[in-house]
Amino acid sequence: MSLPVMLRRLAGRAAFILLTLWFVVTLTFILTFAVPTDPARAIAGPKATAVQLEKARAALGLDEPVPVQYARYLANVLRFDLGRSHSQRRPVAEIVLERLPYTALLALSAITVQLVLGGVLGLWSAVRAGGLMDRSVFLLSLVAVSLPQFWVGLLFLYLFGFKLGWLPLGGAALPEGLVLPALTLGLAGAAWTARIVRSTASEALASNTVLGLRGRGIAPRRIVLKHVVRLSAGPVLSVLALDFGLLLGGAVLVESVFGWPGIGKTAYQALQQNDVPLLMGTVVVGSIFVLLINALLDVARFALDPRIR
Amino acid sequence: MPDAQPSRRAGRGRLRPDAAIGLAIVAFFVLAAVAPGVIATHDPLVSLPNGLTEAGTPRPPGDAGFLLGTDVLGRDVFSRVVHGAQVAVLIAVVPNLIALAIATLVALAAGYLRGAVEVVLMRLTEAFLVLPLFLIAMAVIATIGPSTATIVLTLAFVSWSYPARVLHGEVRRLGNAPHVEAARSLGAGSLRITLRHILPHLTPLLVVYFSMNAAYMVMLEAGLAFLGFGVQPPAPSWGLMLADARDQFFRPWLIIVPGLSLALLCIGLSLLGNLSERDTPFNSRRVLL
Repeated sequence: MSLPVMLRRLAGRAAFILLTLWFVVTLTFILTFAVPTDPARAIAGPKATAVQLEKARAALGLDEPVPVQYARYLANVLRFDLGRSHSQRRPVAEIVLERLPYTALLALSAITVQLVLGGVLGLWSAVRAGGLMDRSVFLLSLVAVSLPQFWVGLLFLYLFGFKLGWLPLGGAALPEGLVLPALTLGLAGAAWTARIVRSTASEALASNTVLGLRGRGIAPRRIVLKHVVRLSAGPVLSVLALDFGLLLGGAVLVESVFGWPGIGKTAYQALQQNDVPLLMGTVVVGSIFVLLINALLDVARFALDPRIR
Repeated sequence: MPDAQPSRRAGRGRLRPDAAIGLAIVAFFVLAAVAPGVIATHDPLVSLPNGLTEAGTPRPPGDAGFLLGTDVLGRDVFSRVVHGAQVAVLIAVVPNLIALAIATLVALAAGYLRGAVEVVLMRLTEAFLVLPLFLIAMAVIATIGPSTATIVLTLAFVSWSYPARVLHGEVRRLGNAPHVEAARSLGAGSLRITLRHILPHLTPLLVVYFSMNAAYMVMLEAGLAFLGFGVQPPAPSWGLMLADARDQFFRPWLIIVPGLSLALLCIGLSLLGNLSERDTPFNSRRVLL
């Protein structure tokens, strides 16, 4: 691909990310300021006098016209000022950035579980198509994608934490605290990956490329591990990119089940304490995170599979 | 012509076994939702006089005639789970239909109007595909308030995009189909073609996505309920039952039973969704949460 075409593609991608973010920020603005609940009341507290309430309102700029408020809100987000959390009495951006690495680590571990487990099972099924392994993987993957993740998390906690006592009942201890959340979050993805790899790898195995390689006398093991894996990687990566938002949604629940201190648990706490700015902050930062990972995976797919260039 | 297309006839006449299992599971839950009194053994909402042991703890499954035990308030878990099917079936159907209606509208509007409108609509669809919708759903429900109507509309709001993208592809494909070209050459206008010659052909896809999206809806609602945002008490909902049971490790049946009902319904719906998987390309979306 020539340079101008590549630049156009990148520019289009960047424009899409910015527009999507604008959409999210506008949505959070509408939710924060245009709904019946009074943000000033939330800050001043239920016992506030009329004067205190007025002061809180002025401090938030709520006495100004809505377009002015909106413009200031956008300008603040651009400077990464996401307001103050009233439950923790700290800037929202500070809290969320503190918690984001935990979510990133959890997501990365879950994706590793997903790719390794799903990739191995999917390849195995494709190579031994129609065999016992193939059929059991198909059945298991059907069941695994239908299980509610937070319930699987609770069962894991009960079995490995409570009954067997192998792993902690929650918290952020490393590395043992990460095992169960990562497994829980990665399991459904692994089932899904296995299905995709099974279908793309079967296709690759039947292709002329593989026929040619076999004709040249290359060992079947090498063909599978080198060529078939590479041919199956593209579709897996594109689904991974598309489903990263889903993964983050699952992380919210899994984090609150295991008490893993990422932005999902932060959102849950914000919810319980009616801390609207903090909740909206997690939405904005979560969206930025997802969009950036998406762009990154897009580039990776591009680099791996020359056919789509 | 008795056996002109034997293979096709064989495929049509019999229900595939996996779909039959799915149908049976879903039919059971629909029955439980429509007539819970037929299946349930107790009132799901009252604390029963013998619902707790002498020590005041919940009864384990099988104890004192309680098939699946009782909860901390001495209510019958089996009856609560059976009645919980009502919320699940409501959530599987209503927001799902709204989402599919939005998806069909977006796909047809993009295919009919083309040009800038199509670009904008499809970019919007793409944005809804990648965003962390669960977080957004939490934020929407938290600020507007967790009424049943809010939950239904929010679920529709976060789930129309995937079917919209698939339907849009189908609309584009049908736009070049022979019967559409024939209609066009006979002088039919774009609107007539869209409504009379494209819309009816979307039905098979809509049926598949109704079934798959239903499982997604049920799990999303259960997840929201687990965080305290489901259909409000005292109506027993499985997600809410799980939220109440999250630290009840000494009474594992309180965790296992509602989750198993959820899982079973979702498995049934996925099996049903596989019914015509052969007819559609490999593009089903994974259901998470």
